This record gives sequence, C-alpha cells and structure tokens, in this order.
Amino acid sequence: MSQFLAAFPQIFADPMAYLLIVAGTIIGIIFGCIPGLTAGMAIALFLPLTFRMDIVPSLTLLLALYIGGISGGLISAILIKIPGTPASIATVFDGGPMADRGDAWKALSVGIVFSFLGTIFGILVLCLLAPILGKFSLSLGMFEYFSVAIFSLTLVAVLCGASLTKGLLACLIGLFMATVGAAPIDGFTRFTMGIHDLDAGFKEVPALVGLFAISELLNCGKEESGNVKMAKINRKGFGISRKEFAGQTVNFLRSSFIGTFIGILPGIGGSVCNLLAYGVAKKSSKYPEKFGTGIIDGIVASEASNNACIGGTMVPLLTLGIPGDAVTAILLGAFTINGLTPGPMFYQENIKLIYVIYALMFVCSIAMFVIQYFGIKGFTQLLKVPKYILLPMVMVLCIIGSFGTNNRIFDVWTLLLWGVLGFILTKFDLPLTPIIMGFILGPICEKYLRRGLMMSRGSFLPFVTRPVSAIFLGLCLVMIVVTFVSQMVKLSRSTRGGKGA
Amino acid sequence: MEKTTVSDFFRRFKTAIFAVVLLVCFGLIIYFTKDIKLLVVNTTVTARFWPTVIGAAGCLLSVLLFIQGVIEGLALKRREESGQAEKPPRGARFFEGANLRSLITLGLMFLYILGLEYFGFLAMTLVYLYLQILTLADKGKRHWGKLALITVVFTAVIYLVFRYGFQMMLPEGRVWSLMGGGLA
Repeated sequence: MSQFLAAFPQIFADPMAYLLIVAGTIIGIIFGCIPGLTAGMAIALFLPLTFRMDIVPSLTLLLALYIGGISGGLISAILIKIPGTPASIATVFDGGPMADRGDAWKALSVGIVFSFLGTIFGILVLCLLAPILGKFSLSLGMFEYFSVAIFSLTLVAVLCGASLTKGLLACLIGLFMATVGAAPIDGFTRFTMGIHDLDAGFKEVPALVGLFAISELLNCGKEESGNVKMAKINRKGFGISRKEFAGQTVNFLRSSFIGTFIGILPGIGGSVCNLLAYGVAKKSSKYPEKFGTGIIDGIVASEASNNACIGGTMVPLLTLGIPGDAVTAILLGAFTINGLTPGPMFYQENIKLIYVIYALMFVCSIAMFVIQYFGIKGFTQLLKVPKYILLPMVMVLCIIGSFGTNNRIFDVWTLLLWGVLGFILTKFDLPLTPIIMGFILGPICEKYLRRGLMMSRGSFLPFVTRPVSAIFLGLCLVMIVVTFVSQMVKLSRSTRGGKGA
Repeated sequence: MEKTTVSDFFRRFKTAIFAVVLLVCFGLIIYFTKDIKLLVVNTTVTARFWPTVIGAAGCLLSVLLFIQGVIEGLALKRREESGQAEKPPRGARFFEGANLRSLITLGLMFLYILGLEYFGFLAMTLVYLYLQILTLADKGKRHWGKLALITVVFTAVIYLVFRYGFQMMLPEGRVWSLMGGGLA
C-alpha cells in the first residue's frame, strides 16, 4: 500500500502529467464514442508522440487514451444505439431503450459510475493478485480456451433473440464470416474468391460498425424523421437512487469479475466480456424478461465488465509479457521502446514502475469519471439533433473509422457489406449480436481447437476430461438442452392453441 | 374460405423459406471447402476441418429451423383462418421497414463508397451527406439552404479535425491526384 501511495508524487512531479491525463482521456473518449474509432486506434495514432518521452509520461498518455477509449463507447451506445467500440455492444441493449424513453441522463450516469467502479475493481485485482492470476492463465491450455470461447458463444446464442435455433444459426454465420481469409496455423486462404484484399479476412471494426450502424441507418427509412424525446428529469446527483445503486452490488461484482477473468485470458478481451457479463446478469436475474427493455442492470453488467477487463488485460502483459489484445500489444511496444521487457523478471526488477502504472490507471479512471460526468449535459444535447441529420453524420464518421483501420477503401466496402447482411438478417428476425460474437470468437475457437487436436493427435477426449474445459462444455450442453426443451414446450402450446380454436 | 395468396404464403412461411436459403448457403460452404489447399505434410486437422464443421452444423440447424418454420406457419394459418390472429390488409409490406427510403439510402452509400476512391473524402462527403439528409428528412423539413450549410460546416470540421488534428489519412481521390491536386 505504501508503495502504491508513494507512486503518486512521482506522477505529479511533472506538470505535464496533468495535461497528458486530461488530453489523453478526452481524446480517448472521443475515439471511443465515434463508431469505428477504437481505443486501440487512438493509442496507435499517438504512440509516435511518446517516442521521445520517458516511460512515465509515455505510459500516462497511453493509459489515459486506453481508459478513456474503452469507457467512451458507452456514449454512442446509449445515445444513438450504435456501439462506439466492440466493448460496448451490450450497453446498447438497455441503454438504447432508456434513451428512447427520455432516460438518457440516467443511463449515461449509471454507465459512467459503473465504468469507473469497474476500472477500479480491475486495478485492485491487478494490484493484489497479478502474479497469481498470471500463473493461473498460463496453466490453462488450448482445450480450456476453446471451451471458454464455445461457452461464450452458446450463452449469447441462447440469450439473444427468442429462438435458440436462430441464435445458433446467427453464431454460425459469424463463425463462417471469420473463416474468410487466411486459415490459422497453415495460412492457406479460404473463401476469398480470388480477391486479394480478403486474404487477411474481414476486419473486426468495420464488420461490427456495419452490422449495427448501417442497418440502423437503413431502418431509419421506415421511421418518421424526428429526434428522440427528452423527458424532464432530475439532473442532480448520479441519476440513480442509493437503493438502486445498492441493488446492483451483486451484478457489479459478478460482472467485474467476469471482465477481469476474460481480460487475463490472452486473445479474448473486452469485445467478449461485456456480452458474457450481460448474458450472465440476465440469466441470474429475478426479472430476465425486463432485460433489453431499458433497465440499469444491463448497463451495469456491460460497463462494469468492459472496464474491469482493462485491469485484467494488464495482468498477462505485466507478469508474463504476453499482450492479451491489440491495445496491450501496442503498450508492450511502448515498454520496449524504453528498453523495458515485461515478463516474470519485470515484476521483481521494476516494482516501483509497476506501482506507478497502478497509480496511473487509478488517476486516469478518476479523470475519465470527472470528464464524462461533467460532459453528460453536452452528450445528451446530441439527442436534440434530428435523426435524419444525426445518422448520416454518424455514417460519415463510420466511414472514417473503417478507412482508418488500414487506410484502404476495401474496409469501407466491408462496412457496407456487413450492414446489408445485418439489415437482411434482421428482417428474418435473426439476432445480430451472436453474429458479431461468432465473428470475434471464430478465429480463437478454430485456432485452439486445431492446436488442441494436433496436440492430442486427433482425439477429442482432453476437451471433456480436463476439469476446467469439461465444466464449460458441460454448461453449454445444459444451457442448450434447457432452452431447447422450454422452446419446444412453448411451440407445442402455441400449436395446440391454434388447433383448439 | 378466403383464398391463400402468394403473399400470404411468403408471410406465413417466411422462416421456413429463409431456412431453405440458409440450408443452400451452408451446403455451398461444405462444397467449396474442397477448394481449400492442404499442407503436403500429414496433419491431423486441416484448414478444411473448421469450415466443414460450420457447414454441417449450419445444415442441421437449417433443417431444424425449416421444421420449426413450417409448424409455426401452419399454426399462424389456422389462427388467421379461425379469426384468432389478425390478417394484415392486402398490399401490406412483406418486410416491415424495407421501403423506398431504405433502398435510396443503400444506393447513396454504395455511390459514396465507390466515389471515395475516385473523388476523395471532401467532395464525396459533401454530396453524400446533403443527399442523404434530404432523403431521410420528411417533406416539410427539407430546408435546402440550412441543410446545405450544415453539410458544409460538418464536412469541413470533420476534415480538419481528423486530417490535421489527429493526422489521420483520409481517401485522397484518384481524380485529384491525376490532376496534380491534393484535395482529399
């Protein structure tokens, strides 16, 4: 604790730190809230600026961008129902309906408060358990990673939409779209139809933004062109009562735990944990039918988990030197530029710097909280812009975000393709979330399945005999059987109802 | 008894028809896996394995969805004929929301992206944004001059912020490059 407190003077000794924290957080929030622009992109753009900086100011800027970027996604998710980043997909489910009925202020407040608390949870776990968690994540192998990915897919397929069959089919469509391009392990191209731009497959950001934003824009045609109503609401405090806040304790702790746990597993990350936490919150709720209609539980689950994931992703980076996602890979670059190599020895040799990182994350999350909280009034003004003006502007920003992924027009075509696909599939009542989940987890599933099978010489047995893997696969089976039976009962009742008439 | 029209059939058995389309698509996935190259050395699981699993699972689920769709369609037909469920009026849209505005929006987006490569971000955004706003706005809200001003200001701000603020690349446009200009 004393080492943690001692780190603060070191940060604030440099007056530039204040500027870097505030500017980094604001830019991070801007990147997070614009669909298509991500925290990773912000960090990549600003990394060259840090080349001439020392390690502490360099990390100050990058961590502020990271924390601001992840949290900023909630603004567009709530106000225009388009997730700013993949980490905010689940925020749309309840944040969107809340904004529609005039509770945008409350939805944003809840999102901001629990984003902050989620980040703090992740930092605490990082401070207290990093070395132990690092070792634990190393003990998990191909079989466990595959099972966790399949579990996440099943949970989302089961919970999104009314039909299990459609949920699973949506997952399969996402899984197939992820197979386009080079295969993992051997690198042979698949389903590219001779288009070389497809050799690396579809990029995650244009696909996600297209699926949600373009279909929203295409659907806009059916609505009357107006703006969202803003009810007169109490703008004092944090928008929620103490009772409501206390009622979210279990949901918050569970979702933060899920976020941190998924964060420490290299390669899975924030895009998955918010959906997983949302699914678990819905499954264990006393009123699951209210999820998706605009209740704070959904926002708490999504925002607490995606921000807790930040602390989680730092665990393998600092303890093992393994970057869990694209953002931590860039952070690893920042360390190496300064001649530091994260890994098991890094923890022993640079303990002071480790505590500076923890303190920096803490300060940046406070900055994120303050800036977002005082910015709510400005954000909600966005809803006063008529939809027929706002959505085309968002479309332009989506184009910039998609183009910025690789600076190629092909990614903008990807955006349109996925948008049209999403639009058509929603007309057949296919849920979009399992598609994007399948797309994100597809390469992870395939990589670990193939590696696992290569290790076991083609035998599937280790997937069911290794305890952690068996538990997750068992849970998948239980979920599918229970949902299938309950849907069959419903179907037979509705059929009998028709016959009886 | 009222005669069943083709439109009624499609509306009631929408899910079943969609399942058939999906079945064909997943079948094609299995078929095209044969085109995937394989390593010469013997490996337990090849690059064909995962797409085949996806295709097979997709076919199985499509069949299930077809059965489900037929059962639901027949139940809906019975309910409509017995008056338990309300039948939509003749001429009602098969798909809710797929109307002319959606089609024009799609066309505009297509032309916008196509034009980005040739005319660059600035020129195409100005044209697209203005036409898109006009498409989505109701007739009474189409204030041509005001919307043009909004379009120009927004495009200019976005261009300056991203191009010079964040130093991001934006599509330049081949036409301007050929003419020797640098208009993005």
